Amino acid sequence: MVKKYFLYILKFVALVLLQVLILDNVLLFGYANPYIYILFILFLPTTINRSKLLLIGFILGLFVDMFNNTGGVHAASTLVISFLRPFILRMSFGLSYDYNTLNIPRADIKSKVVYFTLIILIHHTFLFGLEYFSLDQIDVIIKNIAFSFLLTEIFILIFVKLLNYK
Amino acid sequence: MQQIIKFFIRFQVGILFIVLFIVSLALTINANSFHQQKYLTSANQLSGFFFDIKYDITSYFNLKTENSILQSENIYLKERLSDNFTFSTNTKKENPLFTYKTANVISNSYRLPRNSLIINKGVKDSVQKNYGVSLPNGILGIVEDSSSSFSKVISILNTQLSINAKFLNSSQFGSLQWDGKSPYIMQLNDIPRSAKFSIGDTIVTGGNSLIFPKNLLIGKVDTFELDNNLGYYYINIRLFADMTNLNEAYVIIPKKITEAQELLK
Repeated sequence: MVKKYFLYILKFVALVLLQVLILDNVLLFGYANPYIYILFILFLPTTINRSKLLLIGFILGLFVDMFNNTGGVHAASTLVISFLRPFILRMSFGLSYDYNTLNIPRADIKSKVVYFTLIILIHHTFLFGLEYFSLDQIDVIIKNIAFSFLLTEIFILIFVKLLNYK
Repeated sequence: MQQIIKFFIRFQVGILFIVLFIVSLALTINANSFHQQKYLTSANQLSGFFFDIKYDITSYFNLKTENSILQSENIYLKERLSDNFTFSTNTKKENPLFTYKTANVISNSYRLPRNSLIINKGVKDSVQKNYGVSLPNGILGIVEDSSSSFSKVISILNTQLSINAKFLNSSQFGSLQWDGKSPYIMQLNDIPRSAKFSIGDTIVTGGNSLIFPKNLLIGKVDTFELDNNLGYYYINIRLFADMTNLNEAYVIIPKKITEAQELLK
């Protein structure tokens, strides 16, 4: 039990540091930046208490914000995906989530991709929407969301498939 | 009473979500508004600690480019020295308005509409709020907040900031702003139709502020167009400094700022 918690804390710290020290310096095509730290929320146990999930999501985002000096932009977006995660799980995995038999790492790749895609899209929409916070730069916001979405999706699939993150 | 408690238990997830969401929105708005008292000092210490470690490791990769930037700054300064150097019998040195302190940029951002960075000098090194920060080949920004050994700097790549700037070879003033698009290009506004300039002209700081001294290099004219209705030019300035790759910086410490501020009151 203690070992399990320790492992989660280790993953949390590693993902946040990987994000703020290395991946925040990646900027492809002028717009794309991968946000890999949401992997932590993606692979939390599916049976986790919803209030606990919200708090974890909020704290995860707050740490990334602290390093980026962005106030609460990441905290708000991770909070939203933690809040919507149960609904998205049901949408992408269907019955196996309802019967509590879902094991995300073992699920088939098609549902997993749907699940990642929905979560990343919602996260990035909130992230860039709040970051710019004005509609006159809607073209920049959409470009940012699109490019970063592609990059995050690729990075997450690499982590899951090749590095066997779970 | 029981009803209220039941209500809270039933909707605890929704209520928790709304409360946390409002907190994060408040943090966002607070971070975006200028010159507000920040409570980030402890946070700055923690992130500064990690960024300092990262800086120690990664600073070696840029030594070559960093050296050539410093060398070209030296050449520029030497040229100006021989221009102005006159032997004087008066041994009493004039007290300069500004002194400089070296610092290193340990965390940089240029992708957001309002960017900020962290330098590894703080209150311990007598760096304070509202001090300017310059680069070997440009200007960097203004100190917003200092903890004991780190400072947060508002980058000039900030859509809400405007800096007094002028042409090197004339005294035409304008305000330098950023449109939030490319980190290499900034805009010089408020230059009237009557101004004479051409592509490639050098832009320097104007000196009409207590933050930056006069004639610090900024960039050169890249493209421009004239708004015929208003009679003002829109000028795109290509920065000399590569804001995406920063290392050495100088904090500009004004010496007589309080005296000047007294007058402005």
